[in-house]
Amino acid sequence: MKFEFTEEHQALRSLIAGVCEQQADPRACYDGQSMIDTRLWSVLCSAGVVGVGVPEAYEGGGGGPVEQVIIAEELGRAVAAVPFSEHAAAAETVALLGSEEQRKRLLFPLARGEAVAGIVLPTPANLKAVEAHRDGARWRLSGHIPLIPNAGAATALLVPAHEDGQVRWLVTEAAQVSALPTVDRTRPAAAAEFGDADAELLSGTDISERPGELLMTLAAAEAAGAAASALQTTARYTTERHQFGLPIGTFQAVKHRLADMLVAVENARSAVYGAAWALAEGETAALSASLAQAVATGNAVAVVSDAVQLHGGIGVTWECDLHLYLRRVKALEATYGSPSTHRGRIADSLLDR
Amino acid sequence: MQQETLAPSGLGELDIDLSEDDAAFAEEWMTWLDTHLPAMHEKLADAGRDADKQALARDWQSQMAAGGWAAITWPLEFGGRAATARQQLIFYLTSAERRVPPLAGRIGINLCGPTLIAHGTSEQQQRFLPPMLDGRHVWCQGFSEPGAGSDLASLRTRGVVDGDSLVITGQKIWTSGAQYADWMFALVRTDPDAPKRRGISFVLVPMTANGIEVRPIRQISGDAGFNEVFLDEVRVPLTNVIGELNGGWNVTRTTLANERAILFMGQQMALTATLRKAITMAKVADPQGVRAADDPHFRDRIAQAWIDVELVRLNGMRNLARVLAGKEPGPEGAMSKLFGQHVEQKLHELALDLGGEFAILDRGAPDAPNRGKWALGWLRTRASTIGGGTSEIQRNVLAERILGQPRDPWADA
Repeated sequence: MKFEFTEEHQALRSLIAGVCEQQADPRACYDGQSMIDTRLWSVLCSAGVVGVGVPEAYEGGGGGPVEQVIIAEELGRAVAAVPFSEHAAAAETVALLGSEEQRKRLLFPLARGEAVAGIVLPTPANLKAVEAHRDGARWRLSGHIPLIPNAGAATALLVPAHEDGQVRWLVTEAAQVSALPTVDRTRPAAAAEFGDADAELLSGTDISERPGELLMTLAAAEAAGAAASALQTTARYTTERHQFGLPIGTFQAVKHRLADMLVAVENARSAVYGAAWALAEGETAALSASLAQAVATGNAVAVVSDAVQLHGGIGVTWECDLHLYLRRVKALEATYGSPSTHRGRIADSLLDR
Repeated sequence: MQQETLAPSGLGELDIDLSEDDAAFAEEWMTWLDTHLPAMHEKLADAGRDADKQALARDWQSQMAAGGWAAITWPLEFGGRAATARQQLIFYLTSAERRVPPLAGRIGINLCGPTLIAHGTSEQQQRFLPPMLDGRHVWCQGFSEPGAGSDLASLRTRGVVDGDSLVITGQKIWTSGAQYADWMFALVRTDPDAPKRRGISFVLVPMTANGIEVRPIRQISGDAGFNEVFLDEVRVPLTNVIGELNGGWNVTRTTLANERAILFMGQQMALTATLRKAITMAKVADPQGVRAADDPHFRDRIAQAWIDVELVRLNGMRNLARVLAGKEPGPEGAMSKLFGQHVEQKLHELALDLGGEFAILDRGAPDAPNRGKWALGWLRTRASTIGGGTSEIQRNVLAERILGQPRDPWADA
């Protein structure tokens, strides 16, 4: 049944939550120790989580958007420093547009997580920045992309380019990827210099919006998870912290803010699940993905900001984990279109057709 | 395939399986509607005065009762169908889709009936349920009082035992439909010395009794749907008390639980209809050639309104899916009132605002947006976040029951 998670889904959720609880260490990215949480990434790789959306024929998990959303939500809950969402969208692009030979060659390492993929979305600016030209059987990419979200650790990039008046997708492992310092250090961005980098063209010509829609949905799921976790932490804190002789959660100013946070979190989850099911049914998911983004990232920023407020002075210390969440949700809000950008898209579809 | 054509659109979207029983239920309901509905729609279109509409609503209820459709959730022995969650969903969605008129006695059927079935004696059930079902007796709910709103348990209408009777004196308020009702189910204080919740009884009062006076309350919209009900030494037999004397607070939990469950299901359909109309009108130029759809601020608000209505739908679907899977309703059910009422209010405000300066025109002005109905809707929905438990009370409930916060220090034990 739609809108209801199966026992398998619940088991997947518990599995990811358990792995994150034991292995996730987002602080490592702030201590300058590593670009991503390599220990967590390798556990996720060996558990088959990284390739969950890759078809089983290519050693993937054969799952779909619903499973991926559950994973992204749980990773968001732990502010996990792994590029799951971008990697999944890149793998999805190869699975959709690659030839059989390309799928065999490219998807195995992606499913196992031996290659870490980043993805450049086909925005007008990105399409203008990169040029692709044929070089025998191969292709070469030139140009410079100043910002690729969460691609700091990427060893392969999915890059869209104009070719014969249509958008085609290329894969390159030869771009010069340089990581950039980011406000949310658990999602390290990168710049890419292509400089005639060797690349190969994915053979499919269907211009599919699906990788972008999937990525927006998964990023929104990360935000929803982060918000849910911040709310949970806060609701516990407000029953423990006493002032005026009572737990501060007794006071309606606190209680009512918590209730509004709950509404915001559940709305974020509903929006994300709606998009997941639309993608799973193969429906046109542009509006659903915009809905997920518009609701989940904005709500998450509001919820985590409220969480900081309700923690009082402790909430603004480096030691308290809330700033990791605050940075994460703000980064997610800014990354794949702001809530107002997505509302603009929704308005266009409601009012201009 | 056949099941698909039978299933109303909302069901298709939920992608649930219909059992043979459910499909048969759906088919019987559709067939019954085909036979009875068109004539009633015609009569209602011709009805002018409120009293005529009220008479038709009673007539419709007697037809529904004869077909076995007036109270599908009641057990078979009381004329119901003991409908499953799926069947209720089919029934509800179809009713909205085919504009099935409301029953005159829906308050009795939805709120008092289940309470009687759960807590009444067999004699009380035999006496009160049949006329409640077929519309001979229309009921109203006498709970709130001028001094007992959010803090309902502080109610002060007194019931004094005198031999075999209870003598009731006091005042009820916000009583919907009291002007048409034959009976009122009321909460009265029968033990003033007991703790607040332990001195209350649930009692059935005939509206024709001596000492009852009903005064309509005119609301900000100009409507008078609510009333004050004054009770001056109204004498009812003790056999009209449901459950134990002074045990009314527990009895009433059944009533309130039913009120909650019913609330959210129709909400989204009404919101969708309002939104659709608002969007259509935003695309049309006003008398001076201005289109709301060209204004960036309105575009953003319209998108947000669509998002909000979608969220009400998605929250409802999640909740329904849980209920249909046999689980307890989740937090998304408890928050549906808080968020849904807020959305309704905001949506009506947007619809009015879309008219720009013409929004100030009321019924009668030729250029009044939507013939003045947006203004009416805006005024009416100011009550959305107050009736049936204020938003502030809902926030307390969410924080305490779902997020585990301590209860208010002044709350009853």
